[in-house]
Amino acid sequence: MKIILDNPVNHSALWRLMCIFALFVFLAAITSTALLIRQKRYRLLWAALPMVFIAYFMEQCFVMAILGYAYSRIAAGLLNSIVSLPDWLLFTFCAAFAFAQVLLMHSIRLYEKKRITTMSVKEAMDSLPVGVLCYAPGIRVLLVNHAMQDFCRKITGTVLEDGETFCRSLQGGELLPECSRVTVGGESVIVLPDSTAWKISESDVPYENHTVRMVLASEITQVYHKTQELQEIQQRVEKLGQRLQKVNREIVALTAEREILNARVRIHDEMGSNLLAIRRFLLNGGTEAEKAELMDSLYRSVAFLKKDSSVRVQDEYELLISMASRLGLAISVTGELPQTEPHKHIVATAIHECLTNTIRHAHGDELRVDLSENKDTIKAVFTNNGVQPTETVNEKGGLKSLRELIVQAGGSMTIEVQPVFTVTIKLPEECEDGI
Amino acid sequence: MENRNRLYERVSEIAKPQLEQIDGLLTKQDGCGTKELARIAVLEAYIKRRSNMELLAASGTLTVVELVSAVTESLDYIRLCGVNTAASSVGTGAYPSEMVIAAYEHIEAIAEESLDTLSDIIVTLRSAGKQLVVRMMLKAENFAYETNGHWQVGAGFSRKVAITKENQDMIIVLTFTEEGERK
Repeated sequence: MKIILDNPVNHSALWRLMCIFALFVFLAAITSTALLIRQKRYRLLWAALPMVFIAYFMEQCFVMAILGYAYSRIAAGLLNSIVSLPDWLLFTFCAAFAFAQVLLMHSIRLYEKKRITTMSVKEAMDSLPVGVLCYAPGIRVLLVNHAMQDFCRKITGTVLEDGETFCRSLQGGELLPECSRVTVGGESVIVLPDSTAWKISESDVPYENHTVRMVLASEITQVYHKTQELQEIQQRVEKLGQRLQKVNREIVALTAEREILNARVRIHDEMGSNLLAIRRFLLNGGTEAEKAELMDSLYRSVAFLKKDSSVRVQDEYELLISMASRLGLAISVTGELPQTEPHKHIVATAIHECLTNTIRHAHGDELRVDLSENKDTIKAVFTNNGVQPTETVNEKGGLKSLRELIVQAGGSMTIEVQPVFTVTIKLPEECEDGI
Repeated sequence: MENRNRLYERVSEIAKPQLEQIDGLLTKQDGCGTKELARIAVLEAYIKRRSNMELLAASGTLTVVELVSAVTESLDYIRLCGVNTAASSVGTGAYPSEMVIAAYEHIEAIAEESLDTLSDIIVTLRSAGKQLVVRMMLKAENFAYETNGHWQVGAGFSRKVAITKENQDMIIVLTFTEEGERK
């Protein structure tokens, strides 16, 4: 039943405009409410929902006022009251209401702009060089980015669809033949056919009252290769260390051997020269000066063995010349005597030994030493003017020790009996010192 | 250097009595004459050979050849003291270094102790199997061989001494027997 209004609107153009206005506000209020729900901003609904109802009420009022009737007395009474209000007041109310709606829409738009959406999260993830996978056990993959998909294709040859299966493959499952799984610093690393290395790390992260498994695949190619280089260097250093230890042991053994040999030679030399001098003195006699010199030499020998620190250290050649002079023997040297060690010590030892043999076996009074130097060898030839041996000379005692000394220094020694007894020694320019 | 010092110390220790004797002869109040020099030569020859044996003993064995060389050289210098000497040897081989050194020390000690009155000495060395026999024939006045042993006594061998004396002639037979299996 239609009830005609008491005061129908007589300026319908304005009311029509306000009616359309109210309709738009109503539609905007509905949209705002929906957007707020999507944004999960439930607190603002207290403003948006009343606007929907008010806008709907206004729109209905305006429509019925323009038509000039209502369908109930209450509505008619309410409309009569509204219609009786001044037009400017109604228009101002509509404008204020629309302004409020604009503010609400603006707020929603601003919020949309500031807020990170799921899409933006996915977009950001896809742009990451690190592979990211989030999955909940028993559920399909929640999040996977391009890098992880690509990584999965490279190692398994399939698309990543099941997080758990993929993780099992990573942890020890089957990979494509070109891929290899290594452990670096206690962490699992997968090396791809293109030589890139990927570190896999897994962790549990809380997400909306649940626990989600997050798998990260980070490219550590440079670190991996540097680590490999370091490991190779470490291995080389370790091997070098072992070799050095071996060399050290050999050096210690060699040094000990040489020291023993030197001790033998030294004692042999000291005692041998004294014995020869005593024999010569006792058999041939000598002056008091010669005797004094002999006594001095004996004192020195005894002091040397008794650890007397006052023993005078003399040049080896000087000692030999002095000793030869004491024994009435001449040493003729052609060429230059080596002055660097160990050559000096070896040549001096050889002179001493040949001196002893000249007196003892050859009964001569001159020892000739002929020294020459080639590009990288020092050669010394020893001969004497005594009785030459007729048989092969057996090396023992002094000659044997001399040969050992020369061989240890990397040199050689030859003994010839015919035409004259000749001892030839050859020493390399670069001798192994340690004597 | 440690090795070398240790060796010199060892040689000094071994040759201490001889070194002391040489020192005493060199500083003798009434001067060091030819007799003393000859005696010094005997002592020095011993030091030389004994130290050589000590250094060679590192391998654990010493050859009879080395012992014969040492005895020959010692006798060579004993001759300077006016003693008639002779040495001979039968057999070769190697024996525990301690045993060979003990043999040389015995020969040297007997020679040194009898040197003042010694006029003749013949040393014969015979090696056969595990035995090394040293037979010494001496002619010396008032010489009594004492088998007290400050000489080297080592594990691995046994020593037996047999002495026969008639007037000034004395025959001392030292038998050294290597214990255990021959290497």
